[in-house]
Amino acid sequence: MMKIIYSRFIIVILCALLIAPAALSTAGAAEKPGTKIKVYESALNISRLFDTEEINCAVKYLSETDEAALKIIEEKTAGGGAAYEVILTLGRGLQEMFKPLTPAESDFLVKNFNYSALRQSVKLIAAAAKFLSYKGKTSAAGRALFAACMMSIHFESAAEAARDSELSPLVTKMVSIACQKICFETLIVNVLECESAGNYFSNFYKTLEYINKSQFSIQKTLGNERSNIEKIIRLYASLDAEKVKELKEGAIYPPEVYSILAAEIKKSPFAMKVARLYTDEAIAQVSEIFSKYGEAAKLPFKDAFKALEEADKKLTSGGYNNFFTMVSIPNFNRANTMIARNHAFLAMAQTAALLKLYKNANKKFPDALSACAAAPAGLKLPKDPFTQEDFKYVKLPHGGFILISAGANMLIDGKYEGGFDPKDFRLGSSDDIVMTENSITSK
Amino acid sequence: MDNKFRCLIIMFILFQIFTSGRSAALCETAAADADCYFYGDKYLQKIADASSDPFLKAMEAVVPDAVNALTILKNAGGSIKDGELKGALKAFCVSFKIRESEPRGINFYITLDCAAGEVANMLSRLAGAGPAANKYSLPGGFYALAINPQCAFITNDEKIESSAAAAKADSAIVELSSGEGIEEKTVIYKTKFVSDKITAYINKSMLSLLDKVYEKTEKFELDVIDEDNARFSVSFPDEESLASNYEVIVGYKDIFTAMTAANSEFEKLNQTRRNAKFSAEFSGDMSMFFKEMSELSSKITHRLEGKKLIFNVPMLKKYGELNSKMMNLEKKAQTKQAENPLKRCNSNMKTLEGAVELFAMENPKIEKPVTIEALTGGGYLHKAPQCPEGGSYNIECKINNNTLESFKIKCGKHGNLDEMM
Repeated sequence: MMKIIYSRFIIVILCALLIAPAALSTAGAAEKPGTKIKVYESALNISRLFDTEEINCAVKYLSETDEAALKIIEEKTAGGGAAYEVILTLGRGLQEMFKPLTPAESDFLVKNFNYSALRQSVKLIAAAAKFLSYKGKTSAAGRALFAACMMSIHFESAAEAARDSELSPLVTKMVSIACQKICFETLIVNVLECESAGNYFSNFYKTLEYINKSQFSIQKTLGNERSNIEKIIRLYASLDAEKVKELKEGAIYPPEVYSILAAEIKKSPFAMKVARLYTDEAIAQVSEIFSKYGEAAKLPFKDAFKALEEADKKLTSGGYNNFFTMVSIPNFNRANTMIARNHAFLAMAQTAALLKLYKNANKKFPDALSACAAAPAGLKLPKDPFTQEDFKYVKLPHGGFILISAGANMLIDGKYEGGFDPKDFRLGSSDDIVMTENSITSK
Repeated sequence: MDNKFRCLIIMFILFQIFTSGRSAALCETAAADADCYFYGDKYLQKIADASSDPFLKAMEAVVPDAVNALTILKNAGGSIKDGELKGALKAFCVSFKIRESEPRGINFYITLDCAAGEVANMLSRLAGAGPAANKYSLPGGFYALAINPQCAFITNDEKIESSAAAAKADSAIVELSSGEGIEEKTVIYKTKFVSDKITAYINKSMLSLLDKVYEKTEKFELDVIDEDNARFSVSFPDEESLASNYEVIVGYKDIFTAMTAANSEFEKLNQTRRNAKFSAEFSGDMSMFFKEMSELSSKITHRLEGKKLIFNVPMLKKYGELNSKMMNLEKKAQTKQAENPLKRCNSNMKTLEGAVELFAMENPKIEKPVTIEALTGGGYLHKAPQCPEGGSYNIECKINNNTLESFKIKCGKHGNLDEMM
């Protein structure tokens, strides 16, 4: 018995010794590289499969039917191409992506991704997944898209964890939201294309639910953004030209100008006092504005929109006459709208899964959306986050359907009773989000 | 970001202007709803002599009604210099009131205290003709009344009754005739007009902290000691208010001094930057301007006296010179910009092109040619663009089956956009 235990112990030690160097070389930290890092690496690698011109062309495949874009995507993805390998690796790592982020994984993300690298990787993953969905490989494509979604959320957590990072938490959230939206749009295509029986649709729904719950807290983002702004204001008010010179992001003055300004201000105790009072006032105002933002973010979209408009009104009408406040406060109303919009795409993807589930069981789409609610236990019919009501659902005579979110103006702008033409819709001024039995259209 | 930085700098310049070269005579509030300014005849001559006063220059630039009022005063000044009328004008009073009803603007009330029997002479010269129905018609929507042979009243307030005008003029003439108020000193009280303007300026320029200090002040005074020295005082109602607020005022003044020094460097950098307000060729001059301004500003000293914070402002003449320099630079920059009307017309046509494209996107069915009126009416343009050389714009549309197939933007003066490109 002792011998067996001893030999197992030796094997574990040997394995650890073999893995350790790989971990160091991959993540740059003395920690075992998890499957998540492999996912991130794959996401980075997909960009290397295309040259710049090809990338610009390939991403067009996401928004329009473009022959050249299709050709490039097909070349890299079809028949076990390199992009297909990336999709498979991403899918294989999906399970791991729902586990908490380790310090090494955070470190890897911050060191290897920036905003544009993340967006580019996600776009290429989505383009390849869209192609595979049309080719019937919906399961592999779906898993890769879920993994890409989680990677975007991880990027937010990683940026937060990196204490010395100068990335704006709110901008990071917006980048993550933009990436997730790309994934959700493609996931809608994926689920609408899928003809699978079994539990694909309910798993699809549940995975989205999990992604929804994994979202990086907006309250935390606002708190971090506020701290960042305060830090920069205090840094400027310190009149320490050397430290200000080190600022990469958010520089208000050119360093040459600032160092002269700081030296001149230091000559007068009165000027120093004004600088201090001005800073304190700015920080109090920033704090007041962010607490209003925080309260608004807890409200349903309609009430939040009103509350944020009020806050904006004070900001734009000279209610805060402090230079630091004015240059540092972000437009949170727009950010909040983007967050709600992203949520609408997620909810529509879930609704698409419920509709397909219904169709599987009944061989047709339901006459009313409420019929989906009676589908398998635990799968609730999502609401439109803009109105807090059910999405508008129109059953069409040919058997198809139209599902509409009211969008940020909280009104259904278009007339959908007779059918839906995406071309006409794109020319109009409606901000509705429209899903049919085979497409998703928005502006 | 740069603009906001510049905004603070401009505020500093205004502060300097405010505390310099105002050789105007007494200013005193005579009514709760209007600000009255009383002047001696020397000041009128100063206005007539090309008006180098920077404050009046600034007023001319921003208030059209003030331009007309000043034109009348300049002409009156010109009349005084004439041998025949020499000594005809003894003093004058200008008051103004914001016109709340449409069209919004400022009503000016000018009372002239003349030598006996000279009113009709002076008004005939200003109007170029005799009175019609007891009113002399003056340029810019102004008219004049001869209240009596020693007093003339000029205004652009169409609604004022003759009796009210006479009463207003009489009360001003009593003050003017006493001659007590006409000194080389300016007092600015916190009337509604002054407070509104200053508060708006503080908010717009993000000079926070000063708003709370301003609330506590009582009045401002400017004493011109001699040609080159002045005293600027800020009065508080009590010493306690002064003690708790003076550091902020002095601190702001010192920060502005620091900012002009920094802006000198900033202008040097502008030589290598694009999108600077003044093009790179003026950056050297601007840098020098700010350097000199900073040196002047650092020479301003302050002291506390009872309920007053007093700034001693030396080298007034230098401020005047610097201000003229700044004006010339602005003029040069504007001239340079206006030199290329072709470029501006081209930019107008590109704006029109973008608006038509947007119109076509949002209106897939187009039955008649797109017009500039349709673009402004539909919110695709804020206002119709104007060719700098007076050409009229035309949109030539090719419509087929209710669809806009193509279109061309044409200027009557400069031709098609394609040709210009």
